[in-house]
Amino acid sequence: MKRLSSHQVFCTFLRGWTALVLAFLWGPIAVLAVYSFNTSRLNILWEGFTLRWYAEVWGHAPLMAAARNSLVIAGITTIASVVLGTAGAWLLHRYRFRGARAVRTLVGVPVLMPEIVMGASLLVLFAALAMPLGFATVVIAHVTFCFPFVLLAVQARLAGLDPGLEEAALDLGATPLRAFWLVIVPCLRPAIVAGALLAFTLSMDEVIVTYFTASPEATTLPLRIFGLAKVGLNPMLNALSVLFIAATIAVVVISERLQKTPRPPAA
Amino acid sequence: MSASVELRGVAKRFGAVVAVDDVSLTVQAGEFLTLLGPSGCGKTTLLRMIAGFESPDRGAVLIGGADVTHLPPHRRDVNQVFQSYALFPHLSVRDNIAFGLRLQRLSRAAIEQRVAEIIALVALVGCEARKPHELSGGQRQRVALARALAPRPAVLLLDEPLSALDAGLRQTMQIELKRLQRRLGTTFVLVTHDQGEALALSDRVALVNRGRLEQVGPAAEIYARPATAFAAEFIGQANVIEAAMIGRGAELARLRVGGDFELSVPVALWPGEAPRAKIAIRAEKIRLVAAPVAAAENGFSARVEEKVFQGASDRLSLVTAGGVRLIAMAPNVRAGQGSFRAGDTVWCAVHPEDVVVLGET
Repeated sequence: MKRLSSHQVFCTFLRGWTALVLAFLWGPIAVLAVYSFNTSRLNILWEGFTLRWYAEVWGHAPLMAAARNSLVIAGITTIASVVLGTAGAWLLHRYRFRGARAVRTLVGVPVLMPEIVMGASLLVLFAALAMPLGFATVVIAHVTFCFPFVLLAVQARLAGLDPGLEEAALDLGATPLRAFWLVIVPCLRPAIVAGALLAFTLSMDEVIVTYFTASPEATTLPLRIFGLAKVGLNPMLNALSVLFIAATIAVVVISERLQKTPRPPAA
Repeated sequence: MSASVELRGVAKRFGAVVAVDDVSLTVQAGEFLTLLGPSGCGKTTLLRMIAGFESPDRGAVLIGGADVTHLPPHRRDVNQVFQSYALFPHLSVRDNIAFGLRLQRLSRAAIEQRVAEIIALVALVGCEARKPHELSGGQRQRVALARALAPRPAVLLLDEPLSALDAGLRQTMQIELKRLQRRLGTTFVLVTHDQGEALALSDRVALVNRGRLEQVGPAAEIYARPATAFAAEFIGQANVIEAAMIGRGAELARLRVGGDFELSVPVALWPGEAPRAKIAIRAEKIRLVAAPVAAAENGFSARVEEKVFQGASDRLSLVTAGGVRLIAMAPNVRAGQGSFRAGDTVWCAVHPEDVVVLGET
């Protein structure tokens, strides 16, 4: 038998290591996915294939209402965060003013702030303003912790942008607003998509801040799942989780498509 | 179509740095003018004032006779070719070129026609659908040029447009730029630090130094009659030396140069009664021979200290008996045909008309 070279040994080791890491990441999810199709109520033995749990999720009115709430809240949060974050990043990048550094820091800090603090402080604020908790308070709360992520992503992209691009657009007759829309925004698209994606997922699975700011009518899917899980494990949760994962993968694939610059046919 | 540009006493400072200091300059309609100077001299700031990206602290900018000092860039009939090209990365060559035309709200047919026309003019046929990152450096340069020319600006501004190209391509593009300017008759204002580019392209050169104009005129004129030591040394290779008047004749004045050798110059060039003045002698105007040349014929001897091979010619570093250092050019000829080596003693001769008197010190 031929002896293996040290390079081959190293390659085999790397392959094994990669497989282990992937198993560590995806193993629990794979188990979950398998059990979501199991006829047994208990996640121990495989008894047979069924779509019953998916049907139950579909028929569970409070769960579906919460899912609808979550999607609407995440949608509005994403749009508001993209507008606020992109505009804010552009203004901070483009205009020099007194205190710009302080503003930049103040905008960045909430990203690192514990959610429990954000949630409690927002609750205090809404109480002080005598704002009834509900849909609006949840959206406001989500935008406050989501838009800095968009701002930071866009800011990083702006730092590497040729300042000549805006000038070239102005030079060719574009007003500052049109130059921003026609040239800067398309150049920022990858950062905007990445920021939007972050905002959407952050809003979609947020529990702590939402717990402080939601009302029973405006409850979100994570809060509802949390409530169900407290009562006991339910195979419906497996099915729900698989749906979540499938949706996440779909969003990632779509966003990667969006971030890629389409290549024209070679001449 | 083309318009004149006038700068009237413009000045601009950035913090404590004076970028432009009281510059007045007129570019005629249809002229090719180059702003030439070392980096940081203020030439780019002058260009940006014409484009509208900088507003002068003092003074006025006029385009086609109209005061545009306070007009934003998008309302000026001026387009620029940027040093970085600043092509829009998300748009194809065609859409980059059409950008300015679309903003002019031309009809679709008119835009298409103009884009096709300008693509043919800059020889980019076949590249219409490509994105900037799929083009070579030379092609990008042409797109930048085409994009700026498409809306038929009255004045085209070019900020070091050829600096990113390699030497061979730069030469080709110089010829093309000159040809294009002649054909279109548009006023071109070009910024460069490359004297060769300035000499090759421009009708007139405005030499900028430390935020001020040193000299403005046709390249050949600045070359032949530099007004200042800076002008003499920045364009071409010149030896700038101090000289003292030691005898005044009817036609020629006798000078002691650098406290060492003597030269005669036409007396009319000397600044009045001044006892001393700076003179410039171009490296290639020093004639080198092996046999002695009489002092009366503007001859003096020197030792070759170093010889640098430069292809068509050799650059010699000379030292005279009195320690004056000079640079001279010697044609690259075969050994024994008048070539010199380091350590040789050579005789130098300078025609009186070839000495440039720069003015009082």
